[in-house]
Formats: sequence, C-alpha cells, structure tokens
Amino acid sequence: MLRQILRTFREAPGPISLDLLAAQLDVEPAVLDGMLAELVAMGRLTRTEGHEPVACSACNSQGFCPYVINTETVCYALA
Amino acid sequence: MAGRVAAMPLVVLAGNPNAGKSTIFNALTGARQHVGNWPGKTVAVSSGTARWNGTSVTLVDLPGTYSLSAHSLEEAIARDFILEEQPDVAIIVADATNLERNLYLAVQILELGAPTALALNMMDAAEADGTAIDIHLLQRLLGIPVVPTVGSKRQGLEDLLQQAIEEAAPQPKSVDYGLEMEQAIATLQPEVARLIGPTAARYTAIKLLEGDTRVIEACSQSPAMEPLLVMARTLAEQIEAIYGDDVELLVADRRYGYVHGLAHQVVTQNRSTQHRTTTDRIDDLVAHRVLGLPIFFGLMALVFVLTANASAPFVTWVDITVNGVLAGWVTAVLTALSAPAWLLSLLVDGILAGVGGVLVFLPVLLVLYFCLAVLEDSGYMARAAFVMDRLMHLLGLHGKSFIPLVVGFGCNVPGILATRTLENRRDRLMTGLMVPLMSCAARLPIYVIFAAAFFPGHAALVVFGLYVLGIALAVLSGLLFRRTLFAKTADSLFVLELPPYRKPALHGLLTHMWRHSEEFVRKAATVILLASMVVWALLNLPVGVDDTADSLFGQAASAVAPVFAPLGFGNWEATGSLATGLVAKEVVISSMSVIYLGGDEAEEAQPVNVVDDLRTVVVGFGEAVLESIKIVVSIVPGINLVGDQSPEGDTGLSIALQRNFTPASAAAFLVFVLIYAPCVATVGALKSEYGGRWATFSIVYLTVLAWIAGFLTYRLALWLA
Repeated sequence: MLRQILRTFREAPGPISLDLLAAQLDVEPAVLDGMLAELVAMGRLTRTEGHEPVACSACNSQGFCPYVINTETVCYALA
Repeated sequence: MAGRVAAMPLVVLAGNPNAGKSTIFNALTGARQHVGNWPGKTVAVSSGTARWNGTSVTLVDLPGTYSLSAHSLEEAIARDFILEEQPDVAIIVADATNLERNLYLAVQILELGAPTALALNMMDAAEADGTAIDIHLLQRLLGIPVVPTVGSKRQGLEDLLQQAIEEAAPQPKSVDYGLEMEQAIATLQPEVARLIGPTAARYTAIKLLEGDTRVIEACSQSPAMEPLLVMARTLAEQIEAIYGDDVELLVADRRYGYVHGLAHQVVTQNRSTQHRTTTDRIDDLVAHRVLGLPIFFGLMALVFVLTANASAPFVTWVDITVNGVLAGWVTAVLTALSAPAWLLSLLVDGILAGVGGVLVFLPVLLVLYFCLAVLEDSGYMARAAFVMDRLMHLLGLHGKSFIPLVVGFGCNVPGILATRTLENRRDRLMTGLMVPLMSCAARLPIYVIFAAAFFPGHAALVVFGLYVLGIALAVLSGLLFRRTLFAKTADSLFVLELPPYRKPALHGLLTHMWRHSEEFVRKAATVILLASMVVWALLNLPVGVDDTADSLFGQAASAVAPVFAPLGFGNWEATGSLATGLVAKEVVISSMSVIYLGGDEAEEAQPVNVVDDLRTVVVGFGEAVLESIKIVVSIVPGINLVGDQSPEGDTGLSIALQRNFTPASAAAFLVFVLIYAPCVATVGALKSEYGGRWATFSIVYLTVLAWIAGFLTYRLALWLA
C-alpha cells in the first residue's frame, strides 16, 4: 500500500486532500495518516505545515507575525 | 526504569498514543506506581504493581508509538525494552474505534516474539460509532488473546490481565512478506539464531534485510557477525533488484497490506456508508474541482465588498476626528502658546497629516482582518489554499508555492521567508520572486482611497480586481521564469490534511482582528511618523522655500516625474510619493497627505469649541455605526437601506486626489503601486534568502513590469473613456 501511495504521488495530475486519497485507497484517513507518517520517517516524503513559524527581522512581533495568514494545512510531498 | 522484581510477572503495556494505555495502566496499578526516566533518556516511564489472583504483577507503561521502526526515541525504547527485558507478556492496547491503524503496531510487536495479548480498548465508543469487531475471528487470525475493554470505566481489565498472563503465547509469524523476501528471511534466520540466539530471530533477520542501523550497529560490534551482515546485504540487494525498491519500504508495504486485510475481515461498519460529516458535505462544494475556484474568488470578492463598504463611514469619521478636530485643537493650542510657525507646520502639516492620513484606514484593516479571521478560524483558509493550489498546478507551477503566496497577502516579508518550506532552491527562488506581486495589507489603503475617489459605487470591485490582477501577474511571471530562467522539472502531487470546519468564536475573531491591526498602528507611530517628518522637512528645504515644487523633495521628484508622463501621472507629487513608498507602502498615503493637505489649513487657527467638537466626534461615531450596519445589510440581495448613495469614505485626501488625477491616471497609478519595486523590508528578505543579485533582479523586473502595465492601463482607460 505504501508503494501505491508513492506511485499516486508520482503519477497523479494535481493535488489531493488526505480524505480523498484515503477514499481512493479504500482506507480510513487515520490509517493513511499513519502510512504517510511512516513514509516521512523513511525519508520518502516530506511533511510541512502551512503555518511554519518564521523568524522575521522586519518587525518586532517576536514569534507572532500579525500579518501571517494561517492556512492550517499539513502538506505531504515526495522527498 | 523500574527494575524487574524476581518471581513477579513482568507485563508491559504498548500501544499508539491516545489509545487509552495510560488509563488502563492507572486503573490496574492505582497508587502503586512511580514515574521516572528511561536510563540516559529524557523519555518518561511509568511502572507500578498490579494485583492479580492474589499475586503481584509488575506493570510497565511503554511510550506511545505508532510503529517500532526505531525512527524515533520512543520507538527505539519500546522495541529495545521488549527485546532486552523479555517481559512475560506484552499487552497491546488498541483503540477499537481506529483498529486498522493500531493493528500496524500490534503486528510488529507480535514479530518480536514476546507472548502477547490484545486489549480492544474504547469498545463502547466503537459500538456507539457503529463499528462491530469480530473478536473471535481476530483472536483466531492473530493467534493471541483478544479482550474488549473500556479503560475509563475499568471494564474488562480483570479479564484482560487474566487472559494475558494465563493464555498469551509467542506468535512469531504473522505477516507473509512474499516469496523472495520469505526465502531471504529463511536463509538468514538460522544464522541469526546460531550467532545471536533464537529469541526474535525472524524479527532480527527482517531488520538486517531492511538495513536497520541500530540492529546493524549492534551486530557490528562482534567480528563474528561480519559474514551475517554481508549475507544480509547481498540478499537485500537481490530483493531490491527484483522489486526496484528498498527492503524497508517493501516490508512496511506488506505489513500494511496484511493489516488492511485483517481489518477488512474483522471490522464491520454498521453505520450507513453514506454517513458523512458536515465537513464532508461542505467540502463537496467548496473544495470541488470545478466550483472550488469560483467559490474562492466569490468569497474574496465578498470580503472586499464588506471591507471597502462597511468601513467607509468609519474612514470618514476617523478623518474628521484626526485631520479635522484633533488638527484644529493642536493648531489652537500652539497658536495660543505662540509656538513658532515651523513647529505648528511640522505637527499639523507633517505629523498629523501624514500619520493621520494613514490611520484613517485603520477601520479598513479592522474589517479586512475580521473577515479573514472568520475564514481562518472556520477552517476555510485551508480549502482556499487547496483550490488555489489547483490553479497553480493547472498552470504548471509547483503546488506547494501556494503557502508563501497566501501568506504574502498579509505581508510579503513572511511570505518570502515561508518559501523555506519548499524543498529546492529553484522553487524557493521562483516563488520568492512571485510573492511581491501579492497585494500586501500595506497597499490596501492606497487602493481604497483611490478606488473610492475615482470609482465610486465600484470601489470594492476595483480593490478586488487589483488583488486578482496581482495573482494573475504572479502566475504569468511564474510561467515566464519557468520558460526562461528556470528549467522545468516534473511536478509532484502532494496530499493535504484539511482541518474540520469550526464555528468561529467572537472573542477569538476580535482578538485575531486586533492582533493583526495593532501592528499597523505601531507602524504608524514609528516608520510612518518618521517618514512623514522627513517628507515634511524635505518639502520645507531649503529654508524659506515658498512653493513646495521648488523644495528639495519637489526638485528631486520633478527630475524623475517625466518617466511617468506616459502613465498619466508625470507630476512631482505622485512621483515623490511613490519613491517614499519604498520605505513602506503605507507611506505613499502619508506622503500624499503631507504634500496635498499640508499647509491647507494650518496657517489660520480656527476658533475651537471643545463641546461642539466632542459632540461631532461622538455623534459622528454613532452615525458611522448606523451607516455601516445599513451598508452591510444592504449587501443581501433584495435589501437596500442606503438608497442610491454609494459608500465612499470621503476624506480630505480623496478630494485632493480628485483635483490631481483623472480616472485613467488613477487606474494606472493603482496598477503601478500594485507591481512596482517592493518595500525595503521585502528587498531585505529577498537579499537574505536568495542573495543581492536576485533582490536587484526583483526590483528591476517589478519596476519595469509596473511601468508597462501602468502604461497599458492608462492607454486602455483613455481608449475606453
């Protein structure tokens, strides 16, 4: 199943939500989440959060950037 | 770690995080427990004593993990404990509501060869969810005791302990890894058993084939193991040659396949397959492949209609309060104190006109950030990013670029820094060059005042159009860069985890709105204040200059102004304001306020009536609230509480602008402001992330693009007129 996921990553034409991919693979989203985590641990995928903290010297907001729009997404891509 | 007490059975609890492992541990041990650290590790371990059948049992709560791959410290600790301490029983605590995911760890623990039992915890929640598990079948398939439990209610725990201690037995083989792999394991296993020992020999053989660094390191300490390691490496290479993938992936793949099949056999979902959450139903629409993008742009248009229209009465109110009432008071006080004329001019024409000219737009930002907070807190922003990403892919751009671009709408600097989340330099650079085309919040006041002054009735759509134009130009620039500066590489799919929709809490929205907006106020009190003072000084130098056109500022700006003549705004006032916008984009407005409004009213002190002024402020605020409510309600189709009057948010500056620009030149000016060279903070971010050469390229590229786009806009507007 992990190989199927990697193949989907390589071949699919566009982005896909975790829920939709889970439906395509006929697994629960929580199970797919575990598989993705395993692939990340193996170094086959990368995981990034939409709201990465940025160290910005342009203002003095100290950790909270008032201008950042939080997309709240977690994104997996081929490593 | 708790030491093992002789003659007392050792039972370990293993399981996924949040499977209820600690609840069962606490229920079984009560107060007979203590918490410490694993030797030499910072990971906490709980151990305790449970009573069973009149005897004591040592219970150890292993760290919660999803796997035993030893990629993390917790995984390594759990695995090593079972292998090294060889507990009498390992109880796997599985969340029955999410059995398949939990079984992945269970299968790995079974492979370690320890006597094992499975606790199907949270059975009550699983049943309530419509999940039925065939316990007898699962027990038969796994070959271990399976006991349903509800840890929080202490149900099934006695039974669990009894079956675990009395009936658990090793179950060394569960997963079939396929012909080639099984042959390799069968070749290695006897050698492992001979050299290391029979315990977990199959498991160790698999780990050697996987190339598990911890197991190989342990084996490498003895020269006698060298032939075993060579054999494992050779066998692994043969398997990888057959499958075209590494053994670690193949093993995990087979294991997941086995678990998936197992779950399909034993789990029956009694709830309707049509059971769908509200989030699912909303996503069918807003994240739809075709409808998603129009819905996104429709929502953004609504945000700008609300922002421009609902804030308009407050813009007028702040303008009257700051530039009318407050300026009048300052003038009156300074005149009464016989303050020098230059000080009066500095305070009223420079600071109040400049800072006040920008603060007028605080209501605009408050409404904008309130709307964005609603979208963020409801969970929609994640979907917006999702559908935007579809657009990116459609145009051949890297999908993950959407994150920095969306962040860039707030401020370009964090947008550029957010490109660090992209894997390779080419993608980071390309996206970083596109980010300045995203209209940051600092450009919004310029859009709003020009749109209200020159396109009344359509101001919101003009502002929205500028945002869309910025996106379109970013996309086109991305395509241009890809065809010229950066070689095209294949895009890869990525998977997005979307949060569920939530009902935003008012307190959260207001906090969000204020935290975003207070930075704008802080900026007005620092950067814009300083810039206003500098612009005022340059407008009044050399000392004694009568006409501001002859001032240092006027002369310098006049020298460059002809460049903008083909765009319709080749005057020194507009040119000079654009130049100051390089400090921060809001400074364009403060400079225009100082240039156009400074000196208009300050010369003659008007008589001040504090009571009347306060009444004007208070009544004006009440009227603004009422007017704003009417405007918001009138957005609903079929309701019109404002008549034919369009919300304009007239200020002193907007009236001054109408005297110095035409609609065509105003449109060209707006397009130029959208595109031209970024502010110094953004240039600094570009330089620090990509180097001075690319920062310079960005300045030149954007300014040339801005001139061309401004020129075309002006010509098109003249032609249409």
